[in-house]
Amino acid sequence: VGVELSDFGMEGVQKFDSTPNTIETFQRVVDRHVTESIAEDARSCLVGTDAFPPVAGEKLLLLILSREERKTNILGDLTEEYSELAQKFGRRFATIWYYKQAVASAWPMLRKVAKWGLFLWAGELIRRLTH
Amino acid sequence: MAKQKEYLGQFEEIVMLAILHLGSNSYGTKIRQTVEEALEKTISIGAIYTTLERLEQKGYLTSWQGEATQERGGRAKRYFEVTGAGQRTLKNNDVARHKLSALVLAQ
Repeated sequence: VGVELSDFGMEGVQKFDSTPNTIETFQRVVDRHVTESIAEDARSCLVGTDAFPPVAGEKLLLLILSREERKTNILGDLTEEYSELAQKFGRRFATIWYYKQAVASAWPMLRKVAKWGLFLWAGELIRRLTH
Repeated sequence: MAKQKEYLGQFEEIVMLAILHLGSNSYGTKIRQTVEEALEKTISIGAIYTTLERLEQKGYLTSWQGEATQERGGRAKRYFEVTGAGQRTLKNNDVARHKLSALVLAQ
């Protein structure tokens, strides 16, 4: 037996095994509604307070990023997007995404450092060979 | 002697168009997502900031610090805007592309 929940100001249909009386119907609808609300609150609390990026990923970026301003901007943007992704696809997906972003963001900066290091090393080598 | 016209690289042009498209809501995350959607490939936030800083140094963009929010771990947003010089350079790119396209099509 299906009871329209619109009679109680809600959407959907509540299924019953047998014809319910009004009090039983109302009780079940309230129970379901309250349970769903608590579950939703619990989910939003988890996402709202616990969905912060992995500490190791943040530390990696803090080590690599040179300028204070860049650290604030990049870490802020990644934290915001991490929170969105954790809410949509779960923390595991968001964590993998965060590490991918951290490594990909670090690579151009590491390459720049490596390039200058190579120039300095080549300069030192030439200096030693000519003296 | 007249000043030579300046042009943008392909990625620089895409980033500037994304900023123009986003308007007053253009900050790192939104720019990255817009560019990623347009190019249909993964773009790192580091690559976006490297380009944004270069464009700002050239005078094509201006930026200012926004509000700090809880979902950003208390860190502030940096908003970007295309300057007049940036818009002129975008136009230069567009005109050059159209001229060359017309030449190719005329062949």
